[in-house]
Amino acid sequence: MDRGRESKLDKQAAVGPPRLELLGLSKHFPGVKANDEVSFEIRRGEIHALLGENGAGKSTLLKMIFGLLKPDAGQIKWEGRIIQIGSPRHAQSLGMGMVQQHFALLESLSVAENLALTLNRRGRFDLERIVHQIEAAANEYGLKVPARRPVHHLSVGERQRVEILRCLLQEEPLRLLILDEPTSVLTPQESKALFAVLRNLAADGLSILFVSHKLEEVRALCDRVTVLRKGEVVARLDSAKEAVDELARLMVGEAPPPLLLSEKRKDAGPVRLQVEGLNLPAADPHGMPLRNINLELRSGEILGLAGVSGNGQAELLAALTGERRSPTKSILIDGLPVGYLDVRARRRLGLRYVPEERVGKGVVPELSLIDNGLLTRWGRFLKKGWMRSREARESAWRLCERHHVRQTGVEHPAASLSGGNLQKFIMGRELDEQPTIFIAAQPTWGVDVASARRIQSQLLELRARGAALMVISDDLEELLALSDRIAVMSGGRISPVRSIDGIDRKELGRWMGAGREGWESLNDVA
Amino acid sequence: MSPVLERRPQSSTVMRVIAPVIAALAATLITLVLLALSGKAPMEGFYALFLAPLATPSGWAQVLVKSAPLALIGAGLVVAFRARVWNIGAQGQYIAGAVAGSVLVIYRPEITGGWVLPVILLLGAVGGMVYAAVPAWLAIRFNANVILSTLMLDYVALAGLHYLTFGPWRNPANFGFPGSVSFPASASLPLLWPGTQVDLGVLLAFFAPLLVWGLLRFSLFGYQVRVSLSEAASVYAGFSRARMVWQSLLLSGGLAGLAGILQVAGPIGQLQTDISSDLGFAGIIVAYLAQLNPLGVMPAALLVGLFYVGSANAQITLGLSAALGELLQGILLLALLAANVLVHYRLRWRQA
Repeated sequence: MDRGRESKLDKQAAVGPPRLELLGLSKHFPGVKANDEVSFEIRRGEIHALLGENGAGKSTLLKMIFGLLKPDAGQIKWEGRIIQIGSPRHAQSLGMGMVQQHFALLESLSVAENLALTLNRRGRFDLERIVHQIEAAANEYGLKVPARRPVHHLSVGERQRVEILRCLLQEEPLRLLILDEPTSVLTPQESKALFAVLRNLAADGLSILFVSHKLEEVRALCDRVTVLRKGEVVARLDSAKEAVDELARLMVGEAPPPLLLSEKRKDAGPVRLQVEGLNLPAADPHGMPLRNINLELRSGEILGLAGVSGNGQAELLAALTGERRSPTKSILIDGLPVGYLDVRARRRLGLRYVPEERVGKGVVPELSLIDNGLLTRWGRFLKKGWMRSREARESAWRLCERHHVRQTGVEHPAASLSGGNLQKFIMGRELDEQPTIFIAAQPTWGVDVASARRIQSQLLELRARGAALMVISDDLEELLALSDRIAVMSGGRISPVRSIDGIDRKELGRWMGAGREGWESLNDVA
Repeated sequence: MSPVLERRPQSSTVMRVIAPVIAALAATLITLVLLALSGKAPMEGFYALFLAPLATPSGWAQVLVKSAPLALIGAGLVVAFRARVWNIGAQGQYIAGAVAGSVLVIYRPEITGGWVLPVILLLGAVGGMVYAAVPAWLAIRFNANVILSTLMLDYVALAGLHYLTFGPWRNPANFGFPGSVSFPASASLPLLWPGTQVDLGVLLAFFAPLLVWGLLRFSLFGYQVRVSLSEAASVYAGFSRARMVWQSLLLSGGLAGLAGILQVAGPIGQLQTDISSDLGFAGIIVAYLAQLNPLGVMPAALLVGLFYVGSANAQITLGLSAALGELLQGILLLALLAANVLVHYRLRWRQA
């Protein structure tokens, strides 16, 4: 059991057969051609990008590689041998590891305990051995994680490192690491750190399949690129040094619609939403208390709220929207104190929002698109306590049509929509109600490029119509592109608000990481 | 070759319908094996349990009478369980309905008039609602667990019923036997099928699932119940969880209470210590056997009603244990839970 760390990675150079070769893999679901004769190969020690929009078939392909789905046709070759991968366990025993977009960690257990669950299947439960392994690996690969700390204390970046460690420490030496949209939850600094680790691992001979829809990072990190569109391979590039526009064209089919660049308004309109000295205790043990929040949203502007998730953004959203009540005068809509008003009452005052959790909150996945189309506007379809079902059905159709939501029928469950289509559906439902105050949390998280552009354009359009907007996002690039002013949340506090002109990215990054020591000495310039 | 369960991309609607049928067949088969193991002739047992009740019109009538309260209780519980309010106190609410509905007859046995019966039924439903309001209030005010509070209130209701029927409400003309005065004709449900116990209550009971279906399908309340599947989405929609807990407990409690008074003013004819209050628990099985679909409640109630009549019949003709009925229900529920795996998973054979 006490194998040296060195032997865990195959140090052979890129000779011999490719590590993984896909030969014409196909998978059909009722009504959908998820993968159609997908072929490509991943060499030893290569960082290979699988680029494609959401709904392009990336997830299906990963599931077939990892033994979660059986291909309808085609073959998989592992180190030159044709094999059938029957289960994730089987894939792991071959030397594959996968880090999913959503982590599978138990929040209340420590890092070592989490890893022990999968690494300590046989033999005596020995936590100290695991702790030792974690520390050794941390030194070797630069994957620093606190082994004894409970997972709920870790940042998202740290959690991801735990997942990568879990793959590296698995019983069978790791030969192929699959990362599904790994940077979607990271700060720019964390992404950079991750890339450095990945480059080290690749240099040691590990093959990495990097699944992403972010063009810049694919260009920056990957050796070769396979582009997937509508289930088919549309390009195999031997170098990722193509221009970003070219990659985008390959991925989306045509050039993505340019972001509607309206004039940044220098003189924003009247204040619509105001927060004054808002303090709110944490709702649960893992929550973040809000401390002395002051901010204002003006008509015709977008306020970007940056920060790493879990620093109070969720709590602030709940307080602003009425999901949690707060002292009456701490929140004002058009000068009216609304702290005691509930979600419905604030919605009637023109405040609408899009939550971060799309499945299970933005929509109920088991219910039809008709039902989900009513979720935040059922009052309009009500007649003496009864729902007007024909109008509801028609409105669901119109919603899907107007916002280009690709679906197989509005009576089908919302779970059948892909990520990008789901978000277009939710955004469309809220925007159609002509909000005067609009708050969007992670509006384009995990959404394909074309849909993301659409959504961002819609936000700018809404601003042009005079609404007051707030965008909460982990994606600093997005905030910089959209916002008129930016603030950072950290540790339940909010930083000074900066105007977008002449903003210092480094400073924002520091505020996101360091918290309030970073901004207390500075004067508010906004 | 070894069987493996593979998750379906989408849960199977067909399986949702077939699973209860598989479960009923499996429960029957297991019961026959148990009969054989205990030295009885399994085919005779099968006949006595499942065929004999359906061989005569009076057998059919018995099944209908037994199924009626199950359909009422089951229809109410479908709503509560869909709203994720785990009301397992239908037994207590059933008793509360029977008691509240009897008040008028106990204190004014001589009353007559067309208004009496509707008022009695209304009192029964209100009794069930009031009794269900207790756990609702406890849940909202003190965040008390609904499963525990409803379950424990069952025993309180049972004790209360014993007290009343042995004590203040005992009919002095009963020669010391517990039980109230008999319900007069004006307070009794009219018979629909002469010579049997099939009365107006049976008809009412079989309407309940249809009404509940319409309510869930077309009303705002039904929409709120559907959205309750996800608590976060309910909050986002602006629905009040407290209101949902109140409404679903009052509805299921009211229907259970109505079932209780329909029994007392119908087949039983007086408030007595044994008013088949175990129907409250059987209603839970009916709701799940119906896959929480109101339209499935009627067939499910008929099936469980058949089990009741069949096991009583087997007890008389073959001398089988009275516990057979409960055994059958228990096996049925377990078989259903197992069969329901097939709604979300499919069985595949894989090379070892």
